[in-house]
Amino acid sequence: MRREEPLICKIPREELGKFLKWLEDNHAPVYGLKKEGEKITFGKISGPHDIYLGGVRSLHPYTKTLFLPPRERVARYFGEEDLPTVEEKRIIFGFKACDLRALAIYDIMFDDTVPSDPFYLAKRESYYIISFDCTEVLPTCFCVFVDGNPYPESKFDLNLTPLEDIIIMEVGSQWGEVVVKKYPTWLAEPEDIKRRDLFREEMKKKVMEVNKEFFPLSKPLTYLLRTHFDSPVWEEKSQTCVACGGCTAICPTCYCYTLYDEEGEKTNERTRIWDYCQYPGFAQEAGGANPRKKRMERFRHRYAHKFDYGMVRKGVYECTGCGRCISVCPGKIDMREVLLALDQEELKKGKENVA
Amino acid sequence: MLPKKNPYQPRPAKLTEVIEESPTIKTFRLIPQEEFTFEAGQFIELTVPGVGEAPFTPSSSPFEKEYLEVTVMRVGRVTSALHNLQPGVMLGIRGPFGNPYPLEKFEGKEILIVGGGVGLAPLRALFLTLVAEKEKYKKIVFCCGARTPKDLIYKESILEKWPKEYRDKVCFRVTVDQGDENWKGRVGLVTCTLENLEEEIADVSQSIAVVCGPPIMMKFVTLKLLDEGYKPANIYLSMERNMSCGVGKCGHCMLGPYYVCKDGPVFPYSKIMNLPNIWG
Repeated sequence: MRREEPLICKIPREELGKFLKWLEDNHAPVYGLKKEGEKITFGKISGPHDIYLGGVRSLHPYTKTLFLPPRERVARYFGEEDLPTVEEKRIIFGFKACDLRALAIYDIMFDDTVPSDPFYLAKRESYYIISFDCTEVLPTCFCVFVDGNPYPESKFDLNLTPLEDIIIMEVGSQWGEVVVKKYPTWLAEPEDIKRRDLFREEMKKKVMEVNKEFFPLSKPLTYLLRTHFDSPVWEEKSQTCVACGGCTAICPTCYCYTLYDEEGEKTNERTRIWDYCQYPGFAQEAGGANPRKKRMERFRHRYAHKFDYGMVRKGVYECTGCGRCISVCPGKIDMREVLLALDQEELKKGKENVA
Repeated sequence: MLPKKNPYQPRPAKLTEVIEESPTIKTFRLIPQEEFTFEAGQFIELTVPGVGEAPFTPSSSPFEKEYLEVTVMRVGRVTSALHNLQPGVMLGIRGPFGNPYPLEKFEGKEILIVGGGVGLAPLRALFLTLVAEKEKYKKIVFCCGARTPKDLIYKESILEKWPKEYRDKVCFRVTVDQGDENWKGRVGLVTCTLENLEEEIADVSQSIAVVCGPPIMMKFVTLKLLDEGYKPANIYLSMERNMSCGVGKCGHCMLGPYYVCKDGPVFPYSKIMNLPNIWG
């Protein structure tokens, strides 16, 4: 249960290595985001030199790979109830706000939506999450414009904000509370929290700055999607789409999948694999009927799912603004440009009505 | 706490009988090895072990406790494998999934059922449910269509058994697109069974219509029904999509914001009329 006033503590910045070792010795092995050259990777964190403190999101969507693996056996049949086991606990270091917002969407989809998914929940119980504030911004980041922020607000056990001299720790769970009480931390002073909040405002401004040619838009995204569903923008902007599925594969909130059966020696196995609505056959039925035959319809469906259907079903945008889809698209499609085009059409419509 | 049941795991069901309904359609009788119940309109995922699974709405009566039947047209990988099977093998089932027909809204009403081809399968389950408590409904008009007399499934029931058995309550209108030398009935698309509806239905504005069939048939039947004065909220359509997980997650069956497997598969037309490409 979240308390109204979150418990916020601090440690000196140079103590991070000590804190890491203490976690390893007293709780669980630590895995997380690391930096190898320019690349952000994921793996076992073996010492303070391995910690990628702050920074930005990785290109690879590690939330998705960890909690909804690309390939996972979900049933053996026929036989006893095939249920997953909860693996030994691990601590994950370094997820960013957008990574955790993806997790929030999985929770709605695979936990709250009945029946809940035992394979997802088993993983959910296997990990403690120690997230970080973003301390850098990529040119593709736009979390602030899809109801997000460059700092985690929920779904963490502990969140760390690195400042010059201290690291602020916000508690998000009972386990997080145990950690800050057992490890020698200080309660953050109002001054410290003020500094953190100022830093966060600065980061928000930086996200706004990289997006100034796109955002803010004149109307909410859900409204734009609904009223411009038949817009020529969809055809126009999907021209360079080569249906590679890259945007969906890399998207942390694209959780759609396919079940795949195989004959085994003794039992049959059912595997879940990632599947992408941008593939022409995704919605096709066995008889050949395909409700989204055209590339434009598939392209539009992805946007509609994220900004309209997500709102209808879950009350959230199913986009975290991480910008990964922009980074990988070989057709150079920028989601922000598409949304902006819808908004420009809306503004034009408004002007015509006035005239 | 982790759930105790795996929603992806098929439960064994023994195939005990295969009934040939038409050159491309067979009915498979299954005996579930674990307790299984469903309501008319809900669907199951049927597994051919090692091959895969596909969604079907049972065609047998939900009141039938001994067995379960599904009527399947051979169209793809899983259905072809299914058509090659002989009684005795173990298949798998998951479900039931989705919402049943809202029978409470049908009470006291005149009910028009329109089915084409293999679309008659879920309608048989519905029909058998309705006639089991026929005093609850004012009247049932069952319109059936098929390409040719050979393609008409449940032929004996539709042409002989049911019209006699439920004479007091049910009226049948049967048509084929193309007759043969032995066919003495109506010839024409299923929409032609909706001509002169007033002979059977006293008040279309209050009547309930239930439609199932190929997308193109559903489209033209729906347009005809609207023309005749049916309210969009009173036309129930079985939406066919490639439901895979059955539990509202995998995304394959999305129809606008709806997951057909969870929010459907039966929808009142009013709920989906403004969505794109509903006729697939």
